Amino acid sequence: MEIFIAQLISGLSLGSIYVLLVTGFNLMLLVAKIIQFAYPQIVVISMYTCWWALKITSNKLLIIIAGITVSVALSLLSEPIFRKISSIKDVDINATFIASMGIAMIMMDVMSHSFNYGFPVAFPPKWIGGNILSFGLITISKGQLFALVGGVIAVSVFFYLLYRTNQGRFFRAIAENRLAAELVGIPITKTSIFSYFIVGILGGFSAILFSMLIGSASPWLGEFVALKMLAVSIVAGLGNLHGGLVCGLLLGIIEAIAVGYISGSWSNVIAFVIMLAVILIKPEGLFGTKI
Amino acid sequence: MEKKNSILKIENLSVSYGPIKALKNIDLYINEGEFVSLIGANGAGKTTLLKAVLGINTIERGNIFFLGKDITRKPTNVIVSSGLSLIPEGHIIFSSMSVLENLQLGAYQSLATFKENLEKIFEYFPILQKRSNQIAGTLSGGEQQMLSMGRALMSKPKLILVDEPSLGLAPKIVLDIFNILIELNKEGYTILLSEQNAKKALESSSRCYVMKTGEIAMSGPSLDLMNNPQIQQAYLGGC
Amino acid sequence: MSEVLYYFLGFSAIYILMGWALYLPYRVGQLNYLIVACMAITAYFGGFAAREWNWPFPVILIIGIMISTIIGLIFSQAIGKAPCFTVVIVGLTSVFIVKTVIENWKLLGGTVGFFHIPNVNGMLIIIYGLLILVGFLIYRIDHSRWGRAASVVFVDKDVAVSLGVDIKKIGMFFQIVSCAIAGMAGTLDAFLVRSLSPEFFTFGMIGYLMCILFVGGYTTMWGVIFSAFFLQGIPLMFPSSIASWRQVIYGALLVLIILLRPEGIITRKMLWRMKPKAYFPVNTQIKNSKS
Repeated sequence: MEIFIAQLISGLSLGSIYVLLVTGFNLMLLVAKIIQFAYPQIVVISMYTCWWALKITSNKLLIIIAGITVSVALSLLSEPIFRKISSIKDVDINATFIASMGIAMIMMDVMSHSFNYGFPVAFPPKWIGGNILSFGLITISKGQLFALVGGVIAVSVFFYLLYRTNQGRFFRAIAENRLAAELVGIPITKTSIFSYFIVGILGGFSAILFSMLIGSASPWLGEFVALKMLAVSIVAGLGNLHGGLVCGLLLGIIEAIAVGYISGSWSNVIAFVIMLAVILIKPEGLFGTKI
Repeated sequence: MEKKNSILKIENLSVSYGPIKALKNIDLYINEGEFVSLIGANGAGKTTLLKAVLGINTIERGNIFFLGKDITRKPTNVIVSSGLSLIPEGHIIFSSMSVLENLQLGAYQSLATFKENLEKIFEYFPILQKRSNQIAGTLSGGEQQMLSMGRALMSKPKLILVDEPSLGLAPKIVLDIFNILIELNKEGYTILLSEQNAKKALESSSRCYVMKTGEIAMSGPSLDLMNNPQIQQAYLGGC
Repeated sequence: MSEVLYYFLGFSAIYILMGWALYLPYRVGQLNYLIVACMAITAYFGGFAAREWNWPFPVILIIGIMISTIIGLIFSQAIGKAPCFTVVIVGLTSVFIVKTVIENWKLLGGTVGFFHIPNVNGMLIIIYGLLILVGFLIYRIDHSRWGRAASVVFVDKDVAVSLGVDIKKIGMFFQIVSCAIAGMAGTLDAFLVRSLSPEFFTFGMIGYLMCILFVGGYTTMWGVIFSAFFLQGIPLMFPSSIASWRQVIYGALLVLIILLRPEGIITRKMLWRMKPKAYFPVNTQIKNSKS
C-alpha cells in the first residue's frame, strides 16, 4: 500500500507535466492551426539551458527565467515559418506537421552534437533538492514534491486564463470558429502569436518540472516525450483540452504504478501498449476530437 | 439623396474569385440613420459585397470609406473595431460557449460599457437573458440568430450589416427579427440589410439597392421600387 | 565493386522501397509509419531464421512479406480510414514498442545488435530485380481505378464518398500493400547489411523517410527514386565533418521544401509537361480554357 501511495504521488507529478505538454500542443493545434511536433524538443533544449545555467549561477529564480526565456524564444522563432506555410495555397495541416518534424530533426541533431558532447546530462543535487522527506515508509523526493505542486499550479493557472480571461476566450473563440472570431473583431494573427508565447511558457515550465522530477536530460528524451505527448493527445481526442487533462494525469499514474511493480524498460512499454490499444479501438479518442 | 458625410461609401468596387468576376464596379452609399436594403437573387453578389466591406474578401479595385476614412484592404479586426459589425448569414455563433460568453466576445471592443450594453441587449432579446448560462449550441435556430445579432450589437456599432437574417427560420420568427431590426433603426442604428426575401426587405427599409450578377441593377427609395413593374415581376411575384 | 558503392546502391534501393511504402498510403493522405515497425520485425525475423534455423533466403523473404502483410491487415482494420495524424501516432507507438521489445530480448542481441547473418550471393541483383518488380506493381496501382480514387480521397474525402469510393477499403488496401513492401525491404536489409541494431529503426529513420518522400515529391512515384539516391549521396559528397550533421541537413531540406515547393521537386505537373502533348488532348484543353 505504501508503495502504491508513493507511486501515486510521483504519478500525479509526472501526469501534471504531461498535461502541460498536451495542453500546449492542443493550444497550438486549436489556435495556430499547426501540429507542433517539435514542441518536446523545445522543452528538452530548455532543460539543457537550465543545466547550463546551473553551472554559472545557483540563483534558482535566474535559472527558471533562463529556461522559460529560451523556450519562449524558440517557440516564437518557429512562428514565422508556420505562418508562411499556413499561407501557402492548397496546403493543409499535414504540411505543418512535416515542417515541424524537420525542425525537430534539426533540434535533436544540434543537441546530440553541441551540448555536453551528446552525452546525457544530470542535474546536480542542489537543483533537485536532494534530501528526501519521509513519512513512515513512504518516501518522496523534494523534486517530486516541487514538480507536483508546480504542475498543479501551472495547470490551474492556465485553465483559469483560458476560461476566465478575455485572452483565453479569444483562444477558444478562434479554436471554435475562425470566421466568427474574425467577424467579432478578434485580431487573429496577434492572438495566434500570443498562443506561441503561452505555449513557450508552458514548455519552459514543464522543462523545469521535468528536470526536478527525473533529474537528467538527453538528446533522445525529446523523441520519447513527443511520443507520449502525441499519444495522449490522440487518446484524449485531438484538440480536446479537458480530455488531455484527464488522460495526461492517467498516463502519469499508470506509468508510475507500472514502474513500481514491473522491472526496467518493460514498464514503459505497458503504457504504450495500453495507449495503442485505445487508439486502435477508438481512433477518434476517448473524449472526442475537437478539430 | 447622398449627404455630404455619408457613413459608408463604396466607390467603383470590384472583386474576383479567380477568373470569375463576383462584383463589378459597385457604387453604394449609406447615410447616418438610414435603413438600406440590398436585394437580389441567389448568387447576385450580396454576401460577397458585405464580406468585401468587412475585409474578408480580397478587393481587386475600388475604395470603401467608412466614416470618411478609407478602410479598403484593412484587416478585419481593425474594421470591426472602428464601428462596423456584420451579422453573418446562417447564424454563426460559438456553439460550445455559453450565451453570456458569446456576448462577452462581441463586447471586447468596448469593455467599459459592457454592463450597460448587456442590459440593452437583454431588453431587445429577453430570451437571451433567460438562457444566458446555457451553451449556445443548444439554442433553437431563431434564438441563435438573435444571439448572433445581440453579439454584433454588443460592440455598439455605428453601422450594422445584416446578411440574410431570415435564412432557414420559421415565418413567425422572421417577422420578429424584422420587427427588431426596424426597432433598432428607430433607436438610431444605421442598418444595411441583405435579403433574398425582397418583399420583407422593401417593406422595412427606406432605400434599396437591387443587385444582379455582381452589379447594382437599380436603386432608389423602397416605395418607388415596390411600385416599379419590373421589380414587381422579378422579385415580388407580381404579373 | 567497392564497398562504398555497394552499400550506396544497396541502401538506395532499400530506401526507394521504403519510400514507396510511405508514398502509397499518402495517396489517400495517411502517413503510415507502421512500415518502420514492419521493417524491423521482418529484418530481425529474417536474420534470426537464417542464422539459427538455416532457412533459405527465398522462403524467408516470402514468410517475411506474409508476416508484414498480416500486421498491415490487422492494423488497417482499425485505422483504415482514420485521419492522418491518428495513423501517424499508431505507427510511432508501434515502432517504439517493437524497438523496446528488441532491446529487451536477449535472443535478438538486445541493444548490442544482431550479427553474422549468412551471406547470400548476388544480393544487389536480387534487390534491384525486386525493386523493378515492385516499381511496376506501384505503377499499375497508380494508373488503375484505385489510384484515381485515391487522388480524389486525398483532395476531398466527402467528394470521394459521394462518388461511391469506399474510403476504408481503399485506405486498408494501400496500408496492406505498403506494409508488404516494407516487409520485403526489411528482409532485404537484413541480408544486405548482415548485422542489425535496434538503433537503426527509430525516429531518425522516420525523418529520413519523410525527407525522401517530400523532397522528392509525393505526387508521383518517381520523386522517391530521385531523392533516395540524392539523399543517400549527401553524406558521401561532403567531408565527414559536415556529413555528421546530416540530420540537420535533412531537417532543413524538409522545412525548405515545404516552404518553397510544397509538392516536392518532381511533381505530376512537371511530368505532364515533359510528356508529348498530343497524348493528352483533354489536359491541354483544360489548360487553354483557364488562360
